[in-house]
Amino acid sequence: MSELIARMRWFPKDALLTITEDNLKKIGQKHGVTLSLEEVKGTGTRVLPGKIVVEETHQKTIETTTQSIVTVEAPSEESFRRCVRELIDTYRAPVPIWGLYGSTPRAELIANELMDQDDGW
Amino acid sequence: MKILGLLASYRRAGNSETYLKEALMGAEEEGAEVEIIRLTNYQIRPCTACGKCATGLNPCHLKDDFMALLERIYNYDAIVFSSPTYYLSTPAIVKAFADRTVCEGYPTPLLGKPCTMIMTYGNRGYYSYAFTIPNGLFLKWGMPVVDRALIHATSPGDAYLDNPGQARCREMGRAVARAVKSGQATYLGDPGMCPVCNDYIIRILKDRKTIQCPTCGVRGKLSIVDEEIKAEFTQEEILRGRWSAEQWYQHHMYHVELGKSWFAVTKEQRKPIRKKYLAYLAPKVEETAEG
Repeated sequence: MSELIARMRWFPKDALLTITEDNLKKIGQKHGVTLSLEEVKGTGTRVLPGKIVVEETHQKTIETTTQSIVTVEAPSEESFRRCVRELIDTYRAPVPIWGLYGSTPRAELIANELMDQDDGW
Repeated sequence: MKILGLLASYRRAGNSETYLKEALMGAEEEGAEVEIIRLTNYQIRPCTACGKCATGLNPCHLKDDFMALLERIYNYDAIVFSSPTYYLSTPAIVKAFADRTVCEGYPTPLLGKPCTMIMTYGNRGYYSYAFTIPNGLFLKWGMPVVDRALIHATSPGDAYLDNPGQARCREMGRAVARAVKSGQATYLGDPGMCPVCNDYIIRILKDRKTIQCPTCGVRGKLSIVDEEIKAEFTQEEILRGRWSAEQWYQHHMYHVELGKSWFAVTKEQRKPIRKKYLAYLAPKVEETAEG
């Protein structure tokens, strides 16, 4: 198994575009990297004044909250960097500090470096 | 119709208070009942980031005047905000107040109620961030801004001599009252560069291609047409701005509240490291300003 495995997490409204399997396939092929998509649908809602319904997250874990998780597995650091960079350019960077939770340490380090390069672009 | 003058100045009958009172006189002319709350009369402690409020689930636990003050502010139909500029921005009391509103959740009872802002400054060019904090506070409250004025008044009482400034503020007061009566809050002020907060501050991102309003978070492009700087923001991007109800909640549900889970999954890693930092230069007695 590759040591460079990033789990990039986009929570609702974080990604600039809807993340689709088709688009990920194109990006993955371009860079020789395996990309997979996991859509997590959280449960439980909170009703706010004005009848605004939002997902209840206060008692939830990172793993059980609504999000799109893109797993990046790359054979080399160079391909990993190019691929993550394109994911950031396409969807913008994951926002919170747990946006890379579950990544291998080296992948997390590189992905953070890339995300910081252009203010999250 | 009750209109609040929210004043962030300590000085009695100073410039901010004078302009505020002109605005409130204008509002009275339109039939409003008016009152002033002077923020500096209240004890507002700094937010301690304890997280107990959980963004609207619980009231702030700090024992001071903040929660009662907030409940009082909610009862008005509109707000005229007036503040001096200290150190390029609003005085610390405004930031302390704004920080504490994290406990509110969204929407607040002020959603849709109009406001207007008056900032006075002492020297030309020393007001760069004058509207940054009030823009964030009032846009977060969901209050449509009717007008903003940035007025030059340095010494105590300069406002007494400034008839155009007084007239401008009086009209601002009339306009905010009319907005309450009609239910239509049309922005009458300087359009600025950002289509959301109307400020002129633009941040250039590190890609050197993209600009961002640092207050609203909207991203766009800069161009120069006939030697004039243009900032363009798409409608889609404007809707992504951080002050809409939807964006505000997405931010709090997924970027703030999940912090509890993040803390839990990394807690064991943190423990031994925390001990090191607690022990290093640990104060033996309570710290004082004198050391």
